[in-house]
Amino acid sequence: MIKPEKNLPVIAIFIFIASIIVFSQIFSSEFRIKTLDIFRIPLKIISGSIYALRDVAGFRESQMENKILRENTTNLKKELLNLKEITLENERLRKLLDFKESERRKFVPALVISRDPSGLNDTVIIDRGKKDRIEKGMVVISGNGLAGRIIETGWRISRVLLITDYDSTFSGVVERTRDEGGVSGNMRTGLVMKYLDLGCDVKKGDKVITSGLYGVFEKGILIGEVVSVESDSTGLYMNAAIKPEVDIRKLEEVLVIR
Amino acid sequence: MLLFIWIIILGLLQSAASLNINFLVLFAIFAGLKKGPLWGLCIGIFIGVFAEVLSSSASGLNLMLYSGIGLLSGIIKQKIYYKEGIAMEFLFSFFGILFFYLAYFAFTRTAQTGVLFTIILSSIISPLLFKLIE
Repeated sequence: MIKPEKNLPVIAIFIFIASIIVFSQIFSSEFRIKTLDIFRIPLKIISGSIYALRDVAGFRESQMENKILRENTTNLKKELLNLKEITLENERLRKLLDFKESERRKFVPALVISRDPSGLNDTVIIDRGKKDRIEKGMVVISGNGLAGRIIETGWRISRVLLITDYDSTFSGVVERTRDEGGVSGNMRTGLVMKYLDLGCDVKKGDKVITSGLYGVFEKGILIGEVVSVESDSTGLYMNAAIKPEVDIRKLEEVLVIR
Repeated sequence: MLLFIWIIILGLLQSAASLNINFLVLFAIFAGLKKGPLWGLCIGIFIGVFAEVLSSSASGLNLMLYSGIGLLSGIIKQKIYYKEGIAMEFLFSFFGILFFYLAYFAFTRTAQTGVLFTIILSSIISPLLFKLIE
Protein backbone atom coordinates (compact mmCIF):
# COMPACT_ATOMS: atom_id res chain seq x y z
CA MET A 1 0.00 0.00 0.00
CA ILE A 2 1.23 3.50 -0.84
CA LYS A 3 1.90 5.59 2.27
CA PRO A 4 1.57 9.29 1.41
CA GLU A 5 3.96 10.36 4.16
CA LYS A 6 6.76 8.04 3.01
CA ASN A 7 6.29 8.54 -0.71
CA LEU A 8 5.68 12.26 -0.54
CA PRO A 9 8.55 13.34 -2.81
CA VAL A 10 7.55 10.78 -5.45
CA ILE A 11 3.86 11.80 -5.32
CA ALA A 12 4.76 15.50 -5.40
CA ILE A 13 7.10 15.16 -8.34
CA PHE A 14 4.55 13.03 -10.19
CA ILE A 15 1.80 15.66 -9.68
CA PHE A 16 4.25 18.42 -10.59
CA ILE A 17 5.29 16.87 -13.91
CA ALA A 18 1.80 15.60 -14.80
CA SER A 19 0.16 18.98 -14.17
CA ILE A 20 2.76 20.82 -16.26
CA ILE A 21 2.30 18.41 -19.18
CA VAL A 22 -1.51 18.45 -18.99
CA PHE A 23 -2.01 22.17 -18.48
CA SER A 24 0.64 23.18 -21.03
CA GLN A 25 -1.38 21.29 -23.64
CA ILE A 26 -4.64 22.93 -22.56
CA PHE A 27 -3.34 26.49 -22.42
CA SER A 28 -3.46 27.57 -26.02
CA SER A 29 -3.59 31.33 -26.50
CA GLU A 30 -7.25 31.05 -27.54
CA PHE A 31 -8.14 29.13 -24.40
CA ARG A 32 -6.36 31.70 -22.23
CA ILE A 33 -8.14 34.70 -23.69
CA LYS A 34 -11.52 32.95 -23.57
CA THR A 35 -10.99 32.12 -19.88
CA LEU A 36 -9.86 35.66 -19.19
CA ASP A 37 -13.19 36.88 -20.57
CA ILE A 38 -14.75 35.63 -17.31
CA PHE A 39 -12.68 38.10 -15.32
CA ARG A 40 -13.51 41.08 -17.56
CA ILE A 41 -16.01 42.67 -15.19
CA PRO A 42 -13.94 42.42 -11.95
CA LEU A 43 -10.86 43.63 -13.84
CA LYS A 44 -12.82 46.55 -15.24
CA ILE A 45 -14.13 47.46 -11.79
CA ILE A 46 -10.66 47.33 -10.21
CA SER A 47 -8.90 49.25 -12.99
CA GLY A 48 -11.77 51.77 -13.18
CA SER A 49 -11.50 52.44 -9.43
CA ILE A 50 -7.74 52.89 -9.68
CA TYR A 51 -8.05 55.32 -12.57
CA ALA A 52 -10.69 57.26 -10.62
CA LEU A 53 -8.37 57.46 -7.60
CA ARG A 54 -5.55 58.68 -9.83
CA ASP A 55 -7.86 61.33 -11.28
CA VAL A 56 -8.76 62.59 -7.79
CA ALA A 57 -5.07 62.75 -6.87
CA GLY A 58 -4.31 64.71 -10.02
CA PHE A 59 -7.17 67.22 -9.60
CA ARG A 60 -4.95 70.25 -8.87
CA GLU A 61 -2.74 69.40 -11.78
CA SER A 62 -5.83 69.16 -13.97
CA GLN A 63 -6.93 72.67 -12.94
CA MET A 64 -3.61 74.10 -14.12
CA GLU A 65 -3.81 72.09 -17.30
CA ASN A 66 -7.33 73.37 -17.88
CA LYS A 67 -6.12 76.96 -17.72
CA ILE A 68 -3.42 76.30 -20.31
CA LEU A 69 -5.81 74.38 -22.52
CA ARG A 70 -8.31 77.28 -22.54
CA GLU A 71 -5.61 79.60 -23.79
CA ASN A 72 -4.65 77.08 -26.43
CA THR A 73 -8.28 76.74 -27.55
CA THR A 74 -8.41 80.38 -28.56
CA ASN A 75 -5.36 79.95 -30.76
CA LEU A 76 -6.68 76.72 -32.20
CA LYS A 77 -9.99 78.32 -33.16
CA LYS A 78 -8.10 80.74 -35.37
CA GLU A 79 -6.17 77.89 -36.94
CA LEU A 80 -9.38 75.94 -37.46
CA LEU A 81 -10.82 78.72 -39.58
CA ASN A 82 -7.78 78.58 -41.85
CA LEU A 83 -7.99 74.80 -42.02
CA LYS A 84 -11.66 74.89 -43.04
CA GLU A 85 -10.76 77.03 -45.98
CA ILE A 86 -7.96 74.64 -46.93
CA THR A 87 -10.34 71.65 -46.63
CA LEU A 88 -12.83 73.25 -48.99
CA GLU A 89 -10.06 74.00 -51.43
CA ASN A 90 -8.82 70.41 -51.12
CA GLU A 91 -12.29 69.01 -51.84
CA ARG A 92 -12.58 71.16 -54.94
CA LEU A 93 -9.22 69.98 -56.20
CA ARG A 94 -10.05 66.32 -55.47
CA LYS A 95 -13.20 66.62 -57.54
CA LEU A 96 -11.19 68.15 -60.32
CA LEU A 97 -8.76 65.22 -60.24
CA ASP A 98 -11.55 62.63 -59.85
CA PHE A 99 -9.75 61.25 -56.78
CA LYS A 100 -11.36 58.18 -55.23
CA GLU A 101 -11.59 58.54 -51.49
CA SER A 102 -9.95 55.61 -49.74
CA GLU A 103 -11.90 53.58 -47.23
CA ARG A 104 -12.04 55.51 -43.99
CA ARG A 105 -10.45 53.92 -40.97
CA LYS A 106 -12.51 53.46 -37.83
CA PHE A 107 -11.14 53.94 -34.36
CA VAL A 108 -12.47 51.84 -31.53
CA PRO A 109 -11.80 53.37 -28.09
CA ALA A 110 -10.81 50.85 -25.42
CA LEU A 111 -9.87 50.87 -21.76
CA VAL A 112 -6.77 49.11 -20.44
CA ILE A 113 -8.09 46.81 -17.74
CA SER A 114 -5.12 44.61 -16.91
CA ARG A 115 -1.39 44.06 -17.32
CA ASP A 116 0.86 41.06 -17.06
CA PRO A 117 0.89 40.07 -13.33
CA SER A 118 4.61 39.26 -13.28
CA GLY A 119 5.45 42.63 -14.86
CA LEU A 120 7.93 40.82 -17.09
CA ASN A 121 5.92 41.00 -20.30
CA ASP A 122 4.78 44.30 -21.77
CA THR A 123 1.26 43.21 -22.65
CA VAL A 124 -2.07 44.71 -21.64
CA ILE A 125 -5.67 43.56 -21.74
CA ILE A 126 -8.27 45.90 -23.25
CA ASP A 127 -12.04 45.75 -22.82
CA ARG A 128 -12.87 45.25 -26.50
CA GLY A 129 -12.94 42.04 -28.47
CA LYS A 130 -14.54 40.11 -31.30
CA LYS A 131 -17.91 41.61 -30.37
CA ASP A 132 -16.53 45.01 -31.45
CA ARG A 133 -15.00 43.42 -34.57
CA ILE A 134 -11.49 43.57 -33.16
CA GLU A 135 -9.15 41.16 -34.88
CA LYS A 136 -5.66 39.83 -34.35
CA GLY A 137 -2.99 42.07 -35.87
CA MET A 138 -4.93 45.34 -35.57
CA VAL A 139 -2.92 48.42 -34.63
CA VAL A 140 -3.36 50.05 -31.22
CA ILE A 141 -2.52 53.72 -30.73
CA SER A 142 -2.72 56.15 -27.85
CA GLY A 143 -2.68 59.91 -28.30
CA ASN A 144 -0.41 60.57 -31.24
CA GLY A 145 1.74 57.49 -31.04
CA LEU A 146 1.90 53.80 -31.64
CA ALA A 147 1.16 51.63 -28.60
CA GLY A 148 1.13 48.07 -29.93
CA ARG A 149 -0.89 45.47 -31.78
CA ILE A 150 -3.58 42.93 -30.96
CA ILE A 151 -2.20 39.42 -30.45
CA GLU A 152 -5.21 37.61 -28.94
CA THR A 153 -8.91 38.32 -29.11
CA GLY A 154 -11.70 37.06 -26.90
CA TRP A 155 -15.39 37.89 -27.19
CA ARG A 156 -15.18 41.09 -25.15
CA ILE A 157 -11.47 41.45 -24.41
CA SER A 158 -8.20 41.44 -26.32
CA ARG A 159 -4.52 41.18 -25.46
CA VAL A 160 -2.20 43.85 -26.83
CA LEU A 161 1.52 43.31 -27.33
CA LEU A 162 3.05 46.68 -26.54
CA ILE A 163 5.87 48.01 -28.72
CA THR A 164 8.26 47.97 -25.75
CA ASP A 165 7.99 44.18 -25.23
CA TYR A 166 11.06 42.12 -26.11
CA ASP A 167 8.95 40.12 -28.59
CA SER A 168 7.91 43.23 -30.49
CA THR A 169 9.96 43.88 -33.64
CA PHE A 170 8.91 45.94 -36.64
CA SER A 171 10.31 48.24 -39.25
CA GLY A 172 10.69 51.97 -38.69
CA VAL A 173 11.96 54.96 -40.62
CA VAL A 174 13.53 58.20 -39.42
CA GLU A 175 11.18 60.94 -40.64
CA ARG A 176 13.84 63.52 -41.50
CA THR A 177 16.56 61.37 -43.07
CA ARG A 178 14.38 58.44 -44.34
CA ASP A 179 16.85 55.95 -42.84
CA GLU A 180 15.25 52.57 -42.21
CA GLY A 181 15.89 50.18 -39.37
CA GLY A 182 14.39 47.44 -37.24
CA VAL A 183 12.69 48.72 -34.10
CA SER A 184 12.70 46.36 -31.12
CA GLY A 185 11.21 46.64 -27.68
CA ASN A 186 13.55 47.06 -24.74
CA MET A 187 10.96 46.89 -21.95
CA ARG A 188 10.85 49.89 -19.61
CA THR A 189 13.98 51.45 -21.09
CA GLY A 190 12.11 52.13 -24.34
CA LEU A 191 12.92 51.07 -27.90
CA VAL A 192 16.02 50.40 -29.95
CA MET A 193 16.30 51.06 -33.67
CA LYS A 194 18.86 48.65 -35.10
CA TYR A 195 20.72 48.22 -38.40
CA LEU A 196 21.02 51.88 -39.31
CA ASP A 197 23.76 52.62 -41.84
CA LEU A 198 27.09 53.71 -40.35
CA GLY A 199 27.07 56.92 -42.32
CA CYS A 200 23.52 57.90 -41.46
CA ASP A 201 22.72 61.42 -40.30
CA VAL A 202 20.28 60.43 -37.53
CA LYS A 203 20.40 62.86 -34.62
CA LYS A 204 18.92 63.24 -31.17
CA GLY A 205 15.39 64.62 -31.44
CA ASP A 206 14.58 63.03 -34.82
CA LYS A 207 11.09 61.58 -35.08
CA VAL A 208 10.72 57.90 -35.99
CA ILE A 209 7.62 56.59 -37.78
CA THR A 210 6.49 53.16 -38.95
CA SER A 211 7.73 52.27 -42.44
CA GLY A 212 4.85 49.98 -43.36
CA LEU A 213 7.23 47.24 -44.45
CA TYR A 214 6.58 43.56 -43.67
CA GLY A 215 2.94 44.31 -42.94
CA VAL A 216 3.21 44.58 -39.15
CA PHE A 217 2.10 48.21 -38.91
CA GLU A 218 0.80 50.55 -41.56
CA LYS A 219 3.01 53.38 -42.76
CA GLY A 220 3.36 56.74 -41.06
CA ILE A 221 2.40 56.12 -37.42
CA LEU A 222 4.59 58.02 -34.98
CA ILE A 223 6.74 55.69 -32.86
CA GLY A 224 8.87 58.11 -30.87
CA GLU A 225 11.91 60.32 -30.73
CA VAL A 226 15.60 59.47 -30.99
CA VAL A 227 17.40 60.07 -27.68
CA SER A 228 20.86 58.78 -28.55
CA VAL A 229 22.76 57.20 -31.45
CA GLU A 230 25.76 54.90 -31.12
CA SER A 231 27.46 52.15 -33.14
CA ASP A 232 26.52 48.57 -32.26
CA SER A 233 28.90 45.99 -30.75
CA THR A 234 29.99 44.68 -34.17
CA GLY A 235 30.77 48.16 -35.47
CA LEU A 236 28.90 47.43 -38.71
CA TYR A 237 25.72 49.34 -37.95
CA MET A 238 24.37 52.17 -35.83
CA ASN A 239 21.78 51.75 -33.09
CA ALA A 240 19.42 54.50 -32.00
CA ALA A 241 17.69 54.53 -28.62
CA ILE A 242 14.11 55.73 -29.02
CA LYS A 243 11.83 57.21 -26.41
CA PRO A 244 8.30 56.04 -27.29
CA GLU A 245 5.74 58.77 -27.96
CA VAL A 246 3.30 56.89 -25.76
CA ASP A 247 4.02 56.50 -22.06
CA ILE A 248 3.53 52.75 -21.84
CA ARG A 249 3.48 52.70 -18.03
CA LYS A 250 0.62 55.19 -17.85
CA LEU A 251 -1.49 53.66 -20.59
CA GLU A 252 -5.18 53.92 -19.64
CA GLU A 253 -7.18 54.53 -22.81
CA VAL A 254 -6.22 53.39 -26.29
CA LEU A 255 -7.66 53.41 -29.79
CA VAL A 256 -7.77 50.30 -31.94
CA ILE A 257 -7.55 51.02 -35.68
CA ARG A 258 -10.12 48.81 -37.36
CA MET B 1 -11.81 27.94 0.13
CA LEU B 2 -11.13 31.38 1.53
CA LEU B 3 -7.50 31.10 0.43
CA PHE B 4 -8.56 30.53 -3.17
CA ILE B 5 -10.81 33.61 -3.03
CA TRP B 6 -7.88 35.63 -1.65
CA ILE B 7 -5.68 34.38 -4.49
CA ILE B 8 -8.20 35.45 -7.13
CA ILE B 9 -8.92 38.86 -5.59
CA LEU B 10 -5.29 39.84 -4.98
CA GLY B 11 -4.19 38.28 -8.28
CA LEU B 12 -6.70 40.43 -10.15
CA LEU B 13 -5.62 43.48 -8.14
CA GLN B 14 -1.95 42.80 -8.91
CA SER B 15 -2.79 42.52 -12.58
CA ALA B 16 -5.23 45.42 -12.92
CA ALA B 17 -3.32 47.90 -10.77
CA SER B 18 0.16 46.79 -11.98
CA LEU B 19 1.37 46.80 -8.37
CA ASN B 20 4.99 46.33 -7.38
CA ILE B 21 3.98 43.48 -5.10
CA ASN B 22 3.92 39.90 -6.31
CA PHE B 23 1.00 38.51 -4.30
CA LEU B 24 0.85 35.32 -6.34
CA VAL B 25 4.36 34.19 -5.40
CA LEU B 26 3.68 35.11 -1.77
CA PHE B 27 0.58 32.89 -1.79
CA ALA B 28 2.59 29.95 -3.17
CA ILE B 29 5.23 30.42 -0.45
CA PHE B 30 2.52 30.77 2.20
CA ALA B 31 0.91 27.51 1.08
CA GLY B 32 4.21 25.64 1.25
CA LEU B 33 5.13 27.05 4.64
CA LYS B 34 1.83 26.75 6.44
CA LYS B 35 0.25 23.72 4.79
CA GLY B 36 3.19 21.52 3.79
CA PRO B 37 4.83 20.58 0.48
CA LEU B 38 1.92 18.66 -1.05
CA TRP B 39 -0.58 21.45 -0.39
CA GLY B 40 2.08 23.95 -1.44
CA LEU B 41 2.29 22.13 -4.74
CA CYS B 42 -1.49 21.87 -5.22
CA ILE B 43 -2.13 25.53 -4.37
CA GLY B 44 0.90 26.44 -6.50
CA ILE B 45 -0.73 24.62 -9.42
CA PHE B 46 -3.94 26.61 -8.88
CA ILE B 47 -1.97 29.89 -8.78
CA GLY B 48 -0.01 28.81 -11.85
CA VAL B 49 -3.19 28.08 -13.80
CA PHE B 50 -4.63 31.45 -12.77
CA ALA B 51 -1.40 33.26 -13.74
CA GLU B 52 -1.34 31.42 -17.08
CA VAL B 53 -4.71 32.97 -17.91
CA LEU B 54 -3.60 36.47 -16.93
CA SER B 55 -0.13 36.30 -18.45
CA SER B 56 1.11 36.19 -22.02
CA SER B 57 4.30 34.25 -21.32
CA ALA B 58 5.14 30.82 -22.75
CA SER B 59 2.53 28.20 -21.96
CA GLY B 60 3.28 26.20 -18.80
CA LEU B 61 6.00 28.53 -17.48
CA ASN B 62 3.89 30.16 -14.76
CA LEU B 63 2.46 26.81 -13.77
CA MET B 64 5.92 25.31 -13.37
CA LEU B 65 7.30 28.25 -11.39
CA TYR B 66 4.40 28.77 -8.96
CA SER B 67 3.89 25.08 -8.24
CA GLY B 68 7.65 24.60 -7.92
CA ILE B 69 7.91 27.44 -5.41
CA GLY B 70 4.99 26.05 -3.37
CA LEU B 71 6.58 22.61 -3.32
CA LEU B 72 10.10 23.84 -2.61
CA SER B 73 9.15 26.12 0.27
CA GLY B 74 7.27 23.23 1.88
CA ILE B 75 10.20 20.82 1.46
CA ILE B 76 12.73 23.35 2.76
CA LYS B 77 10.56 24.01 5.81
CA GLN B 78 10.04 20.31 6.58
CA LYS B 79 13.38 18.82 5.67
CA ILE B 80 15.95 21.59 6.03
CA TYR B 81 15.24 24.45 8.43
CA TYR B 82 12.40 26.61 9.64
CA LYS B 83 11.68 28.56 12.81
CA GLU B 84 8.37 30.36 13.32
CA GLY B 85 8.71 34.11 13.16
CA ILE B 86 8.57 37.24 11.05
CA ALA B 87 12.26 37.08 10.10
CA MET B 88 11.89 33.59 8.66
CA GLU B 89 8.77 34.54 6.69
CA PHE B 90 10.64 37.54 5.31
CA LEU B 91 13.63 35.42 4.29
CA PHE B 92 11.50 32.72 2.65
CA SER B 93 9.58 35.40 0.74
CA PHE B 94 12.72 37.24 -0.31
CA PHE B 95 14.50 34.17 -1.66
CA GLY B 96 11.27 32.71 -3.05
CA ILE B 97 10.52 35.78 -5.16
CA LEU B 98 14.19 36.12 -6.11
CA PHE B 99 14.11 32.50 -7.29
CA PHE B 100 10.93 33.23 -9.28
CA TYR B 101 12.47 36.14 -11.19
CA LEU B 102 15.81 34.37 -11.72
CA ALA B 103 14.04 31.29 -13.08
CA TYR B 104 11.82 33.49 -15.25
CA PHE B 105 14.92 35.21 -16.61
CA ALA B 106 16.62 31.86 -17.25
CA PHE B 107 13.70 30.66 -19.36
CA THR B 108 12.72 33.85 -21.17
CA ARG B 109 15.79 36.14 -20.99
CA THR B 110 13.36 38.81 -19.84
CA ALA B 111 14.21 41.23 -17.07
CA GLN B 112 12.72 44.45 -15.73
CA THR B 113 14.40 47.37 -14.02
CA GLY B 114 11.95 47.47 -11.11
CA VAL B 115 12.29 43.80 -10.15
CA LEU B 116 14.53 44.38 -7.12
CA PHE B 117 12.06 46.90 -5.72
CA THR B 118 9.24 44.38 -6.21
CA ILE B 119 11.25 41.67 -4.40
CA ILE B 120 12.02 43.91 -1.41
CA LEU B 121 8.53 45.39 -1.12
CA SER B 122 6.84 41.99 -1.44
CA SER B 123 9.14 40.49 1.21
CA ILE B 124 8.47 43.35 3.62
CA ILE B 125 4.71 42.95 3.44
CA SER B 126 4.82 39.13 3.47
CA PRO B 127 4.60 38.61 7.29
CA LEU B 128 1.59 40.93 7.39
CA LEU B 129 -0.08 39.18 4.47
CA PHE B 130 0.58 35.73 5.97
CA LYS B 131 -0.98 36.83 9.27
CA LEU B 132 -3.97 38.26 7.44
CA ILE B 133 -4.63 35.07 5.46
CA GLU B 134 -4.05 32.80 8.43
